[in-house]
Amino acid sequence: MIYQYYPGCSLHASARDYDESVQGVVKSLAMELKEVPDWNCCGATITPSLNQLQSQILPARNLALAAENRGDVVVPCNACYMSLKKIQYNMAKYKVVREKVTEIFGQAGLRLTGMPKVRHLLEVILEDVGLEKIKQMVKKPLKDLKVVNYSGCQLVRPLGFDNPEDPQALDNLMSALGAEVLPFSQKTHCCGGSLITTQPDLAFQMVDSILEESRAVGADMVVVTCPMCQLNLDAYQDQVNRKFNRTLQVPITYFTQLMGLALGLNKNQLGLQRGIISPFKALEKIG
Amino acid sequence: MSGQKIGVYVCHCGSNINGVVNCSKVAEEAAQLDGVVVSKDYKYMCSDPGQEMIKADIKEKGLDRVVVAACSPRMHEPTFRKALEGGGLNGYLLEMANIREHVSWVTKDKEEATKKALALVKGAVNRVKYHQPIEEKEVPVNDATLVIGAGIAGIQAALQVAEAGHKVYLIEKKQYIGGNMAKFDKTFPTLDCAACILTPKMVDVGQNPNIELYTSSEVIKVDGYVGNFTVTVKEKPRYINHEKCTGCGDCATACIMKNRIPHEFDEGLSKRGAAYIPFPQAVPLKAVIDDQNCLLLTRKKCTLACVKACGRKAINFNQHETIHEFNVGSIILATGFDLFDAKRAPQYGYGRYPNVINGLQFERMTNASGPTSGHILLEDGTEPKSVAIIHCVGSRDENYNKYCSRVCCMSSVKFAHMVKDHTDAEVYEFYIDMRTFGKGYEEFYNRVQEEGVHFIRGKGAEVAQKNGRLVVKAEDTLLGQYREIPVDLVILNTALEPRVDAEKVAQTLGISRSADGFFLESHIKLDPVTTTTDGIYLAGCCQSPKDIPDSVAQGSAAASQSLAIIATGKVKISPISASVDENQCAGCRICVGLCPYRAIKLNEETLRAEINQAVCKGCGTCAAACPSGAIKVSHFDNDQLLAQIEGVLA
Repeated sequence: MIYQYYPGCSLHASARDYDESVQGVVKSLAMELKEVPDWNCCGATITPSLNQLQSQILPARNLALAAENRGDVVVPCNACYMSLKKIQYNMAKYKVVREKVTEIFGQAGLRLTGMPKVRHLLEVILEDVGLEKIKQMVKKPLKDLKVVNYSGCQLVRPLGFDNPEDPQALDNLMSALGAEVLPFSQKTHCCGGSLITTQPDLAFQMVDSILEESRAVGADMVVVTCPMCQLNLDAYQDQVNRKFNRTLQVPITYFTQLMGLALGLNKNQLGLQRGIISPFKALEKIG
Repeated sequence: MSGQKIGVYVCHCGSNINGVVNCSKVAEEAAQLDGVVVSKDYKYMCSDPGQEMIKADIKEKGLDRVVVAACSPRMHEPTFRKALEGGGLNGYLLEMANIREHVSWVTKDKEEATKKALALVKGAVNRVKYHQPIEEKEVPVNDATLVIGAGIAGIQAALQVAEAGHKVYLIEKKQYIGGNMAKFDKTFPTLDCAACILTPKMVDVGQNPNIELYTSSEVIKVDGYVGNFTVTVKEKPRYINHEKCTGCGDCATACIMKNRIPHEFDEGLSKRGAAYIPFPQAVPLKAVIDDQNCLLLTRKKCTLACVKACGRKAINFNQHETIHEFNVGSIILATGFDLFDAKRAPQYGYGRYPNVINGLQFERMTNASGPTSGHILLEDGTEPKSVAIIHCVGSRDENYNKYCSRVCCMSSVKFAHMVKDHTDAEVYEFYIDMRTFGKGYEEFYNRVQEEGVHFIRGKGAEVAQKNGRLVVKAEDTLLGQYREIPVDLVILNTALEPRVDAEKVAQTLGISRSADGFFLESHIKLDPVTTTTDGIYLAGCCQSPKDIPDSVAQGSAAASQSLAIIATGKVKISPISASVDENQCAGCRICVGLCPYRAIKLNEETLRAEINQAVCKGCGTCAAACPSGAIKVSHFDNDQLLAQIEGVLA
């Protein structure tokens, strides 16, 4: 199957580990990802607070570029996923957005010729490959590894593909890979997003409640689907520990990294060494 | 068609129509149409002076056809037909142009609206020229009534019809009557015990000679029409001889499945066997054998301990389902509600965390004959020290049901009172806003506030578990703050929903449902008890969520509708029906299969279609489908419809 890949800014920079594991996993699954040519920032988080309408031009341009090629747009980042889906929704629903986008596109010589389907990587893996096939492909089950699955908020709402209150996709995938999935009420709670820079006190509280519950239920690591969540939970863990008097050392791993391990890929090719809190000690359980 | 004298009357409906449509212009232009001798506009055509105007014009100007351009014919066609009859004309020489619902309420541009109104009037004038006088038929009424559902609404209706001296067939799907109310402990706002006020009525149902009660039964087919329905009922076997069973419960004690099956009546909080007594005050007080769990019935293998224990030899595993057929004049539908399954809102932890229960489970817990003998207990058997009550779970929520379930505010306040009364616990109520609208309700709310209950204005957002304790998270909108309150017990006050099989019931009876899934009344304000099918009435929560006082009131109202047609002794049925021209019918049978009322049969001798006039509702499906144009529907024939279309397009 051929897909168009929209990595988003993070996967080329702070989330190279995610990108590396994505490339490894899709190869094993015989999925072909072609990067959307000349893509730009999806406009998430910061731009809408500056100019609602103009911020929609950014994702719309990516879709216009993708519309010229075949294949669904596959997005690994929750924030990009939501931005791209949101502009599709807004253009279908609001005439004023449609007109404004068309007008600005006209000035730039762009045309929106169609609406490619936007899908999260997790969604594509579960729907197009399927759990049964993945189970058969597992070479090294994640046996004894206790995980909590943190879908984050933008993967499941408001336009997501899974149950917004109690998502199942990541749980099902991790169980299929052999991991022990622990109950986790923080699954879809916000990680604080970009508030971590503008209102750190508030965001630190949000990060803490996620990490603290993962500790309380006895998880070896938190599995994520989004580079923004990963950054907040991993890079700020130290500061959160200091603020709330804790000694947490919880590795935050991408679902593709664990998937890669289970499918028998070399752990050095999955970017696992890039995590600030190293997952290697926890991963000793699976050898 | 010429030489006719048509009167046109354009109604302003106050500003409802005239605010958008230029009514006087429509009347002026209509005056120019061929055959129109009078054309007037008036503020309220349905008022007495409006009707008198029509009557006077018929007499003075010799009108023989009338067009009224006003609201939907569903509102006032009968009114204006009567006006025509008052003036000496047959009521069917009327045609209405709907310029309110079809024009003024849905069009903003005044010019466009006026143009459209005029087009509809032209169509009506063209059509009415082809109208023929039709005589309405009257048929005698069967004086028996069918009541479906024996909760409080159905019981009320059944008793009232029976006490007036008429036969009632009361059909209940469960093995006992009383519905959801039988599970309650106390009732708001007066805190009478539910059983104390319900059981006398249940006993009356069992004893009234005019009521024939069928439990474990379902209506599977309804034929006929108002005054003359034929109803088919399927009665499931109970495997108990009712004549012999005394309800002693010896079989329940003996059953080897004892204490292994979650008991529905206790909302799963207790266990029963496969042979059991539903509850101590059940009517009829007879044992039940559950065919889904009885070892003999499912696996054909059992020690038959129940049969040995029964001193009266009342158990009979050879019972089969029975089909009954009744003739009734009217039907009262009182099938009640289903409770929203709180598992559909996983954020509240129902089914995931211990000590998160729904309202009906709490009712069972506080009921003296319930699973905890009336004690409010946690799963570990201790009393809670703090309790949260969350309103609007599944109601007033875009994700589940948009509507307000109406009873939850008051039942939540009642729950709070019960907790305060039974324990020393702190109580926290999470509400969006308090809707305590009934007689004595606000006073009850005030009383419970004074009992020291904490009312937190903010919808409970989530129930989580922290350090082994339940925590309710909410935004307190009075405090302007996010709060997390640790509690021991959470009561989710869940929505009242239409029964899962509501669609099947609606199809069996030929009635409609509203967007929320409840059965649709004829008019939400002025006709809330009747359905759009003559002779079928609604009572209780099957029409919309309502509390006990309202359910009882609607049960009585439905009974009086039934009694009204019984008292008249005959009903008018719509004379609009289809007929077959034998010379044109080719006997192809297309119409036979299409008729939704099964009114058409092929005459085996003549090989022509035949329509049963008593059953035909004049829907026109057959006429539209007939390839040889042999079927005609009176009052909707081709000449009339083509003339109307021509008029609209002219």
